[in-house]
Amino acid sequence: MKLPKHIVLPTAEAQHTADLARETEHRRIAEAALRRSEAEYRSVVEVLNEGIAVIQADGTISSANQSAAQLVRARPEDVIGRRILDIRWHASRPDGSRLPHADHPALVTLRTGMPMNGFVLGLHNVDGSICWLSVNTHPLRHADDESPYAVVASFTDVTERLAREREMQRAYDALDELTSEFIGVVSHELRTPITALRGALGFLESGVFATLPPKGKELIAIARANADRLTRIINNILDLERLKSGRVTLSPEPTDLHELLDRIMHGHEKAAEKKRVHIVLTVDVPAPIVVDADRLAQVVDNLLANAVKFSPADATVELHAQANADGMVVFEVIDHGIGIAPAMLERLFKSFSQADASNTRLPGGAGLGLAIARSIVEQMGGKIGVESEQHVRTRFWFTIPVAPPPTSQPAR
Amino acid sequence: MRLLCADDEEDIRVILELALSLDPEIDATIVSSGTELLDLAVNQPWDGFVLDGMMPGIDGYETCRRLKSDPRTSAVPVVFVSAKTRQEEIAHALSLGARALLPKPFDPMTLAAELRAALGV
Repeated sequence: MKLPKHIVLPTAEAQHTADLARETEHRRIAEAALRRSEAEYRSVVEVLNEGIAVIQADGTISSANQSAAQLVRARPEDVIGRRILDIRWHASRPDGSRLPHADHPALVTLRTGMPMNGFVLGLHNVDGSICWLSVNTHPLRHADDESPYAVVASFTDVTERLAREREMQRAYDALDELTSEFIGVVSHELRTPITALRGALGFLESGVFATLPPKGKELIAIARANADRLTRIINNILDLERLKSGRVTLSPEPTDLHELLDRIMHGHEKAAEKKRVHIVLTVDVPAPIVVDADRLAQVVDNLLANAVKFSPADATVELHAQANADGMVVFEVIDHGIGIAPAMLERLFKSFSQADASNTRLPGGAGLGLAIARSIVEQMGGKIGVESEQHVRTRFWFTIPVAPPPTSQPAR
Repeated sequence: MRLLCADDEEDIRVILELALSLDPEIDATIVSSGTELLDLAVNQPWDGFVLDGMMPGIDGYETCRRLKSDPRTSAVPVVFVSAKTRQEEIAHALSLGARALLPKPFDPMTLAAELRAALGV
């Protein structure tokens, strides 16, 4: 088709000039946008409370915001361009020991290429003050490079937070000590009168100094049994306090479980016979296990005593120990008594929690036995639990490792 | 066998005296403080000392320390009968040279035998 005369096509040269102009304009707009965006980001970085600095691979600080400079008690211009190692500061670890320069998180990230998070260091400023910083670092890499060319470090002043935490820890420790002292004093003050009471009742019951009529003897026996019960409660309170505060050290040694459980079972036979309750023991653990036998016995004793106590007449109580494939021994104590309501199951292992405070579900106990059992099992590196179908079957179980964990002390 | 015992609680002293009287071989003298015990300890020969831990004035631990540092009494065995029975309290008593710590409350009918076993007399 022929073009109308008034339309003139541009020459190739003119077209090229126009394209160039357009491209230049686009670039100008893009560069302006980039500068605007960069300025915006710079402003964002400047207003941050967090200190941000970029440290080049040779250790030179190439940029730092106002907060970063403030944290080191300097002006940005005094920091930028200097090498991180040239600045006359030294840093501490949280434990107070000196942090070698090479372990500074920015230098670690430059060396390893790995980011670091929440590294806490104490910066000793020239004015003698110490500023505690939580430092995060992130490596900057060129597309194909493995090692970073620089690192971005951000740091937050955690001096106040740390001081608060330390103060709280001191308060907790003081409270802990006070509680322990209080329990110690109370136990001592309770034990002294019980000693006199227990002594006097023991003599009367024995009849060595005076002979009582049968009814008198019976009453004295009741009083003596209750003095013993009070003693047990005091001992349990003390024991639980010591277990919870981590003051109990376990003494694991090779133990023949069959022999131990057999001995424990015999200890409960008298109480079981009274109710015609039959105890069945099965042990399927091939070799002796390394465990604190006294503490293990304390747990089994407690569970077995409860099982016998809550069994109806002529019932069976089962005690099983079986090694499983995970290197644990699973202990089970099963009874067919009234059982425990689902809502109470969770509370059962907490101190002073009786399954049903309104009746005699746990007669003769202050609800400490299971809390003690849990503390012991957990310190041994195991778990404890219970399943109960009311009036059908209650199964208490716990696990302990065949060999004890490397440290038997619980974390405080 | 002559035992010298100290406990600041009068009722406990009565129980102690009765409990030790059940063993005809034991001749016990019971005093109410560490000071009294230390006075008597050097004046006569004894086969064993029995101490309460907590006592006003010179407590059982300090009494034990002084008994063990005096050549006239250091060879006589010491046993605590105490209501302070935590592991660290037992360890403290033993570190001072005591042979054992028998916990309160005790069974009055078996105390004499337990004491003899602990004292090794």
